[in-house]
Amino acid sequence: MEDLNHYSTLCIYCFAGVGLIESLLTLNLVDEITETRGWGNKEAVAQGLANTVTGFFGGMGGCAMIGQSLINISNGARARLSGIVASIMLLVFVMYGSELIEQVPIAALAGLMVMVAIGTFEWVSVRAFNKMPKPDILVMVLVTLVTVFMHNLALAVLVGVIISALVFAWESAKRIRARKYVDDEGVKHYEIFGPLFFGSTTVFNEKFDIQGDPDEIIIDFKESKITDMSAIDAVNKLTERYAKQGKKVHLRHLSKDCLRLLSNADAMIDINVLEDPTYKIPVATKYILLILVLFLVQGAVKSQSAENFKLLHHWKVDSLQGSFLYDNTYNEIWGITNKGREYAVIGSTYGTHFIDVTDPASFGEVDAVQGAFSNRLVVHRDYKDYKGYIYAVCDEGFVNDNSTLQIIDYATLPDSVHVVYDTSEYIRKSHNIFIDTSSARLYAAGSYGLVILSIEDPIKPKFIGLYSDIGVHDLYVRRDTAYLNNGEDMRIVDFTDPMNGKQLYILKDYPEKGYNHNGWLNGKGDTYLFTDETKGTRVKVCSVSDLSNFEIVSYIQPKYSDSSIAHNVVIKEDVAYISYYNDGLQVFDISNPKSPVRVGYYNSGNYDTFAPYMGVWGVYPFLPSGKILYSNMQKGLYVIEPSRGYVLGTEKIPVQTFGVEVYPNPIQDQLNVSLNLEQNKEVLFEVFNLQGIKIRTLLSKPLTKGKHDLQFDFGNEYSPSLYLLQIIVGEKRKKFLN
Amino acid sequence: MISGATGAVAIVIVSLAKDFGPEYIFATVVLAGLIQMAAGFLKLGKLIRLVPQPVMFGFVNGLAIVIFLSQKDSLMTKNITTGAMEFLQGTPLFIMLGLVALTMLIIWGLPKLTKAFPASLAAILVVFGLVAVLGIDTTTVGDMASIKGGFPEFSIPDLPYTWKTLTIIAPYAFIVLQE
Repeated sequence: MEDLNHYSTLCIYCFAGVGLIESLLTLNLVDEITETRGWGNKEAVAQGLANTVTGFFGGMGGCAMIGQSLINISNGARARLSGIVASIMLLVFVMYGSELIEQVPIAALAGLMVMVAIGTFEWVSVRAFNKMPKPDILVMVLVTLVTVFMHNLALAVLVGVIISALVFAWESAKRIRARKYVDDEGVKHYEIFGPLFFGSTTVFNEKFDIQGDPDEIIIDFKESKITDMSAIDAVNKLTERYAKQGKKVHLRHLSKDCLRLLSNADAMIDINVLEDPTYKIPVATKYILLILVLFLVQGAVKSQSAENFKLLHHWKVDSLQGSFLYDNTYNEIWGITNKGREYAVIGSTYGTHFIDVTDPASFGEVDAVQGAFSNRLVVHRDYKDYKGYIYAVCDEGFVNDNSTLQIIDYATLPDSVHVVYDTSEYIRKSHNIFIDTSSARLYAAGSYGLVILSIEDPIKPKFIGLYSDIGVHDLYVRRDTAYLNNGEDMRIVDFTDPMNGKQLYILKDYPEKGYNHNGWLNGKGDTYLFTDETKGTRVKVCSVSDLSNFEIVSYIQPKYSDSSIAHNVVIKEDVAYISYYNDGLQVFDISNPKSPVRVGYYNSGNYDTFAPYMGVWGVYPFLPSGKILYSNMQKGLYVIEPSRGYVLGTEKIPVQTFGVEVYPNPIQDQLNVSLNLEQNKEVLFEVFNLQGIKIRTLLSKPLTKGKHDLQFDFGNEYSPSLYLLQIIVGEKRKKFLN
Repeated sequence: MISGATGAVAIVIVSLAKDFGPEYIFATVVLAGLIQMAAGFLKLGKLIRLVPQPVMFGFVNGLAIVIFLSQKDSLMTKNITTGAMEFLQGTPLFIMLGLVALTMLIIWGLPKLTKAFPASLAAILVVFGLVAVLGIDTTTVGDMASIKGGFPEFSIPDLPYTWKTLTIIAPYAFIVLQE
């Protein structure tokens, strides 16, 4: 017992530094898959308690088992019960069922574990490989190798964290720069940029020309920060070296915490701290406007499953089963309001569900209407509303029976809804419907073309027209002009006379053509977006202000995935909400149709990219409260809203009171700033990262009175993160020598 | 999340037992448990936020590879004459690979048909049934180890409760912690 090996003891304490990491990482992993948030501390306490008790029974102790946890999760386990069942079953098997278990072929377990391995692997990290910064790739590969070859997960993570931290320090160290000039009085100024810390002191020292400098120099830390003892020591040594030459050093613009650091080190450092004389000029004589705007730069690496949206509610019915064909339980989504309350209308294999989404207290299903066709053959349902009624159709049914147009009266919500019309006299099956409120017409699309009904009396539809030139998949209609998506082409047809549609435009061949699927018109009616339900085809943005000049002006695709399929697009004014299989809900600002900008997204799950009919089906963004509803075919209804502080689309970041608008947020490639000046002013725009380091000056010049719309290209040079934009108006800036 | 006795913990515990004797295991496990609880109460769990995404990716990918590679054990068998582990050959190898492929196919395919039944359980039952009904000769869990056991009894470790003891068990307790 005396011969404890000191070396190994040391190593052991080394590893102990990362204590608990593995269990917490497993928890993290589980959280990512289930989109929940585990309680790491609770887990630690529980595990500690379990281990303590185990010790008294002669057990060997344990921790989180990643493999078993993953199998558990992939089989749908979500709550405590599964863990309890697992342990009780294990006990039962060990006590009484051991002979049975011992008969299980190893092959079955090996196959299972191979599938677990495939499922565990982060394939996205391979896809994004060449898009990741090089140090990140290095870290990722290194952690992988240590894990594989040393079988020490905690060590691997520790190594990864240390290297990441060093890379970060190295990158920050490179940021230190000095701007030098000599003023009229012969004093040399050094303006330091970037943080001064242990990593950057060497470069910092190299900036100074002690021999050649005049007798008095000023070091300005306005754009820098003295962060640690190494930095203080560097400053100290520097002043000493100047002192030896008989030269005087002033430090200027030290922040309060820098001063505190220096005064803590009073004994070892002797420096002359100088206040900037221009710093105290009364603000009243100048016009200083300082605006800090937090904005996001989006990048290519997928790091989170949502941006600018947060989840309010999620709803699904556990007992409902998905369609036999595609395993989609849910389909179309729509939204309605009644008596000041808001409801989601969502279709399922069962029928139509009405869910109160007004507030958390009342959230939940208030009523459901069974579809005329209601079983696991149902894939498609579609909804629109008109004058207090929901119109519901379904595209599945038996030859002569069972699928109808249902009209549902929802005026009595929140109590219940009532079916007031339910026949197949005009519509037996329909893939999609659209209601043109301007002329009170309902258009039902199907393989037959279009059936046009008048719903002037909302509960007594009347047949008024037919279009049978081609089978229609989906459509958008405004003021009798219908945009038809027909799979093989897209047509614009004028239905002023519903019996004789007049074709205004047909789009047959176009780049990235797939199955022409769905489309929507923007608020002004000059931009039309359509989707092709085919892998690798982007969403098309078309200019339709003049149909003789119909043109696809740009294409939209979320940056992350090359293989996502856009399903449906819905446009509210100038914001396009696009539901993607596999890629969740993606939201784009199309106010400039030629360069759409992504302003947010929400992804409720990772699906096999090759599987069809998995993921988001549709979206409804028109609720007065601004809440957004979307349907996930497997996971049900999601109610989300833009995160605090972010306002989507044509609305700007709420700093208008200062005459400044900054959009979009987050920015992708381009930042727009619009500024209204009351008089001619000097204007300075600077971008800082969260460490407070200035990374770019966007603009520094006098602007004339009036409104200015400024654009700045960001390209791909910035990593995705939060940045600060500082706008200073009216402060006189010194001219620098270089 | 499922917790249990993992291989990594076993390695630490076995080396302790070998060096100092089995009675120290109990004290180590109890101490590790107490430290874990302390970490929980001190809210050290949030330290996990310092782990960057690439590290998380690397960790998960490494883990997947380890899980995958460790399945090669199922293709090994013990040579009766030499006692060494060696790869299966001929028919037993193909039976093993075939059953593994069948398991994977069921786990991959079943969720596309129904989600009412856990695919992995179904796969195990099907392969189990197939082997039992057709009397296929392949390695089973029992060939690897016996899992039979009984209820443990309560015992307080009989140790000298001194500082010296603590210095012995503490490092091992820390290792258990990190697992």
